[in-house]
Amino acid sequence: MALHRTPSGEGESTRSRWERHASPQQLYPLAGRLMGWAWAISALLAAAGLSVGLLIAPAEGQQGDADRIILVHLPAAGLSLLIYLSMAFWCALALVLNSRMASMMASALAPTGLLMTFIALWTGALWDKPTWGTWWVWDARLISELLLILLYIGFMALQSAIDDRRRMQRASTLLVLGGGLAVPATHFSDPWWSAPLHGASWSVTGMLLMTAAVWAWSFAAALHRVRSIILESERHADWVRQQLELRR
Amino acid sequence: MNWHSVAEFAEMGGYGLYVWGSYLMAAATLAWEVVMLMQRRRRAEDEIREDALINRAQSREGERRSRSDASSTWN
Repeated sequence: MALHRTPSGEGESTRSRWERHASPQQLYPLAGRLMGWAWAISALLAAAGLSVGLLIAPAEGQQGDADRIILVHLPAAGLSLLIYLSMAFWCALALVLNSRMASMMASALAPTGLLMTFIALWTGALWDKPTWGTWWVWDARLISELLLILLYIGFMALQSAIDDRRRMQRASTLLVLGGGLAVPATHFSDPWWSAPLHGASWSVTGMLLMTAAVWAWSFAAALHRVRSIILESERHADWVRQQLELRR
Repeated sequence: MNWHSVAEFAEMGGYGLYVWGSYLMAAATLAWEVVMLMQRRRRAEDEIREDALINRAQSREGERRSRSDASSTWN
């Protein structure tokens, strides 16, 4: 009896502590503050990264100026995977703690992840054509990006198709966690990250700046979206109306 | 700086179509995301305003009814 009470009691208190500090009501203003900074940082870093990568860095790779596509492609491809992994993290957290905020974060990340994957596939094809003479090759990296875009689409389709929040959450968590096991494994089987590091130091600088820029972009976009999601799900709450300065 | 003219920059050593095709599509995608974000935000705000309007109308209706109830008891 006493043995049973202690762990369940601890679980309860962890959960309630989590709920207190991570409620939508507290996330909303925090996300608003962080979002402004993230947009600004993203714009600055992108301006710096584009000037370094396009204007200053010399065409040094084997493919000459076609390699400048990598400046967009690699950050987007990396982020498509990273966003997926963080979605899996939030989904797992939502499952374990039954936290609404965590599942909101997962939903907020999905569209940005989808767009990043699309950019990665598009720019990848445009780099492949002059380099390899074909738009598409069935290699592990490309297949994993293709899988990734299907998983993002599947996740978003599930979210909009199932009305019952708990069922929707469980189904999309299963999808993300199940796919999450397969995708990074194929992606990391290929040492793609070492490729650009052979280039000149200026290209690497541009790449790092662009990577930081798209990270900040994704933060900003996800925070902006999570605020809308909070407004959608909490629209009957008093604090939401007060946030929008409405009389009741 | 390793470009001698704007035309040379646009040409990208013969890869202009591929390079600018990549950059333009990336820019368009991000612009589209911003539009979608703003639309979703506006839709959420509109829903809340609508709810608030309905609530206000209902409470006014309630007040009127209770006032007429009160006057009927006085009469």
